Amino acid sequence: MQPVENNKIQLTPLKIVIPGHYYDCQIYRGKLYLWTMDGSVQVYDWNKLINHVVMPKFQVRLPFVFGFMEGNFLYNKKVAYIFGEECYNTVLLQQYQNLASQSVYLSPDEMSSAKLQEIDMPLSELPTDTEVYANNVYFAVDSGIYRRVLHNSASEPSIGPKDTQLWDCRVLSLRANKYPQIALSAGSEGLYELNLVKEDVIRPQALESVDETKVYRISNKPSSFSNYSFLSVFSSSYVDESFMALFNWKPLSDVNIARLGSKSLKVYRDFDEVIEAKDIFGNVSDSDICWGTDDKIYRIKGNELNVLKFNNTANLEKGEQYYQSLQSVILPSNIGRPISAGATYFGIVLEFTKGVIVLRSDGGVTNIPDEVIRWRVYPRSKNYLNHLHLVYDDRLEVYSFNHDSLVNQSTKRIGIEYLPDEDPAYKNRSVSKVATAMDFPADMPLQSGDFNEFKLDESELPF
Amino acid sequence: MMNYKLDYQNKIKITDDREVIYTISKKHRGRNPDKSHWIIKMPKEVALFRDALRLGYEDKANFTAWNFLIVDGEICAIGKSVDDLELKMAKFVDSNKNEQWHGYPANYMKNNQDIPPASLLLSWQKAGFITTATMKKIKGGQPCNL
Repeated sequence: MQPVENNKIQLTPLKIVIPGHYYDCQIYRGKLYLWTMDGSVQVYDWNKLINHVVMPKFQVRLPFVFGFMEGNFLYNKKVAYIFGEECYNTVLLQQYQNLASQSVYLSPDEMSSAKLQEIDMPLSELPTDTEVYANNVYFAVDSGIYRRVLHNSASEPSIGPKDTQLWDCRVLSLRANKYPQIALSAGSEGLYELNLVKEDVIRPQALESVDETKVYRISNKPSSFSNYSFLSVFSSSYVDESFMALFNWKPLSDVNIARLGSKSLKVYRDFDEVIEAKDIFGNVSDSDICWGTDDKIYRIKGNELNVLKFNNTANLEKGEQYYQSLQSVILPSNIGRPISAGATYFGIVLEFTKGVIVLRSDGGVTNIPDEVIRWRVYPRSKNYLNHLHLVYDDRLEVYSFNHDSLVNQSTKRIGIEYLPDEDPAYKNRSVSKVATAMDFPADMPLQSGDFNEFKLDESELPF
Repeated sequence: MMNYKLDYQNKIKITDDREVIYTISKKHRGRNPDKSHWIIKMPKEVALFRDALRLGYEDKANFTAWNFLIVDGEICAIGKSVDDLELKMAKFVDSNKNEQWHGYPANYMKNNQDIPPASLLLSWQKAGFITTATMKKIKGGQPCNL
């Protein structure tokens, strides 16, 4: 759809309600995973639910396809070209608006028709947090971090039977990035990172590993939750100052290049420094809450929201800055301090004791009342990047926000900037031996100039 | 009413078969700038401890016990943190694993070790003392309406 500069069209979100007593949820590769209060984990065929249960209730298909199964379609230039035609655009928008006025409820029988598996809760304990990455589910319980394999094949159970312990420290929050790392916010113990890169010579050399595991200590400063901003990690804390753990590309030493043997790698990701919130925002008080995801860093101070643009590869010698102020927004005066906050493409999500507020990238605000047990967004996912999942005592609500493709991505002030796949900064991963050898994801968003300082010729670039 | 003294080993009968020692620690009474402090009187602190063991609010693997004070159906503050924030959960510790206990107001947001075990939080949720949302937030070290 064509960008709408003045936000005249504001699409309200679509909603599916799944009654039940749940504690956590994840959605990944066409499957919905639900942790129940009855002590089990249920797995559902999400595409079957949408195709064979939800869509037959209505006369239209496309809003459900774009809204709940293929979230990145509306950003696609070819799709946008078709729906840029007013006759198609008007029809699709009207379909969305009609559907947004009614919630879709799925009955227990309808859910059962798409159930793939139900297993006992791993380790018989409700997890503090979960994360899904590279066909594994990671979960944090009192005794540490564990992993189970997820299977895509119909001949195997969706969730494998074996728990593998990765670390024995209590962790409050897990967050994976697009590289093979998972940030571990371990509360008063600090911020750590689980580095899943296969070769040890391309793991961080500037960080200490814990007990010769793949877990690396980034900082002793308390960390309540964290998110990746490109190569770096922004750590947020309820009890101490938040900070950015800055990572960058570093040249591999000749020794390590030789140790890698036939792999033509020249750079690796390593830790630079910790930058505290006061050095990013200026004056920071105990009641402020700061967080960051991808290209933007946010701070709520009283009833003011400050937004900064983050440039991970700023060349300080040339006068470039890591942070650039974008805007300040005045929030309602009685909003209170958020319990938690996050960001995704369609906006930022703020959780309060009495509900959730979405500050949308099109300037709109969506208020969702009722105290929530947990909320999740999926910005790493192509199919579900427009989803917001809210777990309540008696139901799961799946929201689909579809306005962001109408917003100018390069100038939008709130929410992650969407970079379309068809415009990679460098070569396609499939032709890069370096990228393949390092097992980089195909959609890693690099920026022009990332590798200038290494003076590599084009054949040596990872992309 | 029994008069309790600071740093004195009080014998507390839990059951017919179990008698333990409880010491009201001076470190958590008065204004120690490095420690949380009780705002309830000493007999109430001892009563919370006794009830924690009698009600089974123990994490036996880690030699700790937990409790909170309910008055007229509401969970009340029992202490304050070093930052003068209200604290509502009491933690009791048998540090030497020999049934000699002491306790303090726990700050679950600031200290990992002050987060109650998942099994105990779940039992409190099932008993209706805390909501599922509150249970999740305590587990995650988040602010909540305890």
